[in-house]
Amino acid sequence: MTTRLVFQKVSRWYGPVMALNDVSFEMGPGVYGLLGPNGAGKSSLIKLACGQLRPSQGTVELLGQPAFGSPEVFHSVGLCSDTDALFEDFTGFQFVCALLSLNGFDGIQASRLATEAIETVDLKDAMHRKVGGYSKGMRQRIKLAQALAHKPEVLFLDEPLAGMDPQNRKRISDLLRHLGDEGRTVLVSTHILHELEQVTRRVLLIHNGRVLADGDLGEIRDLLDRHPRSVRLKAKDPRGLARELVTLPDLVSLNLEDATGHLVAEIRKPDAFFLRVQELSAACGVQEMWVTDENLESVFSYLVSK
Amino acid sequence: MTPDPPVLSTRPIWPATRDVFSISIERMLPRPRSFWVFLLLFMPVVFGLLLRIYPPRGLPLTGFELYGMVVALFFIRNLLPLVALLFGSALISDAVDSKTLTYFLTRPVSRLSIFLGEFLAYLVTVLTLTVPCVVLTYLVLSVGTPQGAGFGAPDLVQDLGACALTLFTYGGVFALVGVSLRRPLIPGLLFLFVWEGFVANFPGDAPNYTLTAYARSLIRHRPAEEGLAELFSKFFGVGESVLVLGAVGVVSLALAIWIFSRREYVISS
Amino acid sequence: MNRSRRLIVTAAAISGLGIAFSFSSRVTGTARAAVGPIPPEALALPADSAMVMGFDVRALTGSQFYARFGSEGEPGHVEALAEIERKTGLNPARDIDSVVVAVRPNAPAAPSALEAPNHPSPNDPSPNDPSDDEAKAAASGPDGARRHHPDNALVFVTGRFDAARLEASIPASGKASKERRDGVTIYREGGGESHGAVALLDAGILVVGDPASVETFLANRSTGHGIRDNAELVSMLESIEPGSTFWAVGGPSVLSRVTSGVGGAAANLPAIKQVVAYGHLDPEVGMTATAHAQDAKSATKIADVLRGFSAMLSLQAGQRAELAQIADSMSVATEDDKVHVKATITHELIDSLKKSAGLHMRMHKDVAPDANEIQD
Repeated sequence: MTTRLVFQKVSRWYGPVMALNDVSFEMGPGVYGLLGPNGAGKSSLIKLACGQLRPSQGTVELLGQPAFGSPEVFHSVGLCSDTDALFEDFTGFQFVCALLSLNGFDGIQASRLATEAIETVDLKDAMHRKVGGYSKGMRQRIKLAQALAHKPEVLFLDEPLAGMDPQNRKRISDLLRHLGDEGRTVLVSTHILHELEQVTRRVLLIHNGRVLADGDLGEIRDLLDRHPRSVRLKAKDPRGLARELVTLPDLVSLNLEDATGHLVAEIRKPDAFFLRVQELSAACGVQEMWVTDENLESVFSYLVSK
Repeated sequence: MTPDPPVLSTRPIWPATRDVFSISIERMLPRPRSFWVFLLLFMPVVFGLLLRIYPPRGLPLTGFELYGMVVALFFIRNLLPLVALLFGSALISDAVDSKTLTYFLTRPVSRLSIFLGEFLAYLVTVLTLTVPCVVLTYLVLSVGTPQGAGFGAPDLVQDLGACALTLFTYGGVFALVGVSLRRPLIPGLLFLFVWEGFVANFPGDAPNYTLTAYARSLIRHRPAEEGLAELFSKFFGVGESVLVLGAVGVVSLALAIWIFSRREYVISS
Repeated sequence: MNRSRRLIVTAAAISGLGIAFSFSSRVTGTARAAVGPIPPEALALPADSAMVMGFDVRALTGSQFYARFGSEGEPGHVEALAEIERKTGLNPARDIDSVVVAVRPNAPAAPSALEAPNHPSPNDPSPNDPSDDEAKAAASGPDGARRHHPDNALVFVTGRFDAARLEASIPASGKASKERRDGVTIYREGGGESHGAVALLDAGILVVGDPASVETFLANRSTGHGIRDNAELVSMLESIEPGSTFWAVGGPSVLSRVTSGVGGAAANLPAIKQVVAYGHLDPEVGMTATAHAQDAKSATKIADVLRGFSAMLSLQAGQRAELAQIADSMSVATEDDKVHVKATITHELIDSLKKSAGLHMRMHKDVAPDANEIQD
């Protein structure tokens, strides 16, 4: 495997705040997911990877060069950052062409590559409109186009699907998978597991600046499945419902909150639990159900404490 | 299809500088800030037109002398340093604030090229705004006067050179302030109005340490100083002034590039 | 990328057209073209000037001649220049481009005693003298209505003056009065026998002279009159070889005064109507002079005198070899009523003349103490 990105015992802090703590990993060709809740350190990791930040400790190597202070690597690197910043007075086409010119492409080459990239993100109809007038999803796509246009070997995409409609999410997810199949290295950061599952199986789990897991998404899934989830239920007959659920084998705990009358269950196998609740919903008058710790934050908190 | 093997070389300085310039000039010149600055720079033209249409009685100055006064006092002493502060200090900080610096820093261009491209864009922008205003001021105040428009033509060209040098030097200094400080505007204004405004007219050698004393020395047909300034103003030879202003500009730029090349810019969403 | 380009092109077009317009009106408009070596700004020099001479200071200071001989001078010369520069910011060798001196003739016989010549001479213009006509013409001309002082040279200097500093240095003496008029600052020396005036014009022009002449210059400057009104002078000025480092033209009134002050053979020279002289300093010092005599006979006589002078120099070659070289370098020719004199002196010859002059001075100094001892 060709190693393109190497983090070796990398730590980074901003004053007293630690953004990354002793992170080590390597990446070769393919699509990698960087999964973590907001504030986990995903953006800092991507900024370190593409040389925007200098590591406080450790080393970051990109294409065999120190990532910070090596502009030469950017012939082969593309970045779609999480910031919503564009050259507002440029048209989409001008924006991509201008950035291609910085890569050394002449006017004709830049024009051809820009058109290709804009077509790839399905923005051709709006390419001659000023980006200042683009919607959130269009801005996201033009950012992606400038990152893809020079056909880089390594792509860093920070929350690339944010603000896109389902149709474009699917299109971009397919594109990213295709880029990985071509042998490019694509690092996609997100805090939504569901988005990542559509793109890759390889995931780097990050929380509070630490890499908690580095491996196949299936393993992460298993971890998540082993993690008891909290489910809150509102029913007309909470006591009757409790009597029925307490017999389930994967139930960890069951409490009836006096103040709210809500039933709070901790379960290991959510699928079986949800099926049983569905069966009992008519008899027990189940009105509402919340999976309170479905969000990654609680999963990561669990993984950290484990 | 497999990706092409990576090309690992930074682009040559001048082509990269040119490409950065092409982007920066487009983002700097046709902007509201430029429009407002142009209006300020255009004020002497309006003032000159009003004077020509409604000439005051007993004005003891010729048109050419009025023009000399405008160039020396309005442009060189006050407005051009202010314009340099507005544009020069914002060279990099604007890109940081708008979070677009990332696009330059993640391309195969050296930071030297980025800075030079931005600075060239600054120079072209401020000259595009300034030069027509100076020329029009000259024409408005000289055409149709007894001396005529031809009388001070060589001085006009020299004045344009003096304006360019002033913009270059102050631009270099404020670019240095801009890359060194997070909020460069207040220190810049203090420098302009406290240091440059007062110290240039101190007795003794104090004016040697101000830029304005050298810049005003470049306008040979400026009006005589009045009051305290007449007693204390210090003037230098043209060669000496050009040398000092050029050297300060170049050294400031070199320092600014050195700082910019080493500094880390944390641009967060 | 089009908007910024459009703005730059528009700004460049406005600026370029404005500058081009200014320069074209400098050539064709109110700012007039030069007459011979006289720059356009100096055309306001009085039309009644009897003699005009000039130096291209920039060519002088940039010459090999200046490099070789220019640094030498009287003791204190360099210190005096440094003092001038300290006070006024003016370094004559560096800041002055050219100097034009216009000498106006002494006033014609006039009712006022103030205008009577200080130095009467037998050759002073008589009522029928052509120079008198010239003076009358000047007096009745556009700038002739004013009275002028007998010390009547008007010096016009162009260069790069630090006007504000120069102005600041003048009132320091406490003896000058200052007046600002039409954008020009005029200083008049107050008190004392000899009074003069200095006018600081825009664009690095300085005019120094007696107050009346300076006033004449300023009046001419605003009315467009001046040296162009004197066709004879213009004709002489235009005959000067372009690029000359130094030059002079003179009419009869000044020439008669000059010749009257000289004794010997020169005192018997026939009257000269006009002289045009000009020269250069590099690679050798060369001078060409053309004198207009009253007629061909007079011209021949003048030429004979000059040739005789040259022969005398040759005869002294046994004592000083340099004199023969000077005689050889000079040629005299006549053409109708004109006498042409050309002389070329190499820098080496000047050097050897200076050395022998220095030797003579030392010998003189060696003798002087003895004389003092005798007096004691």
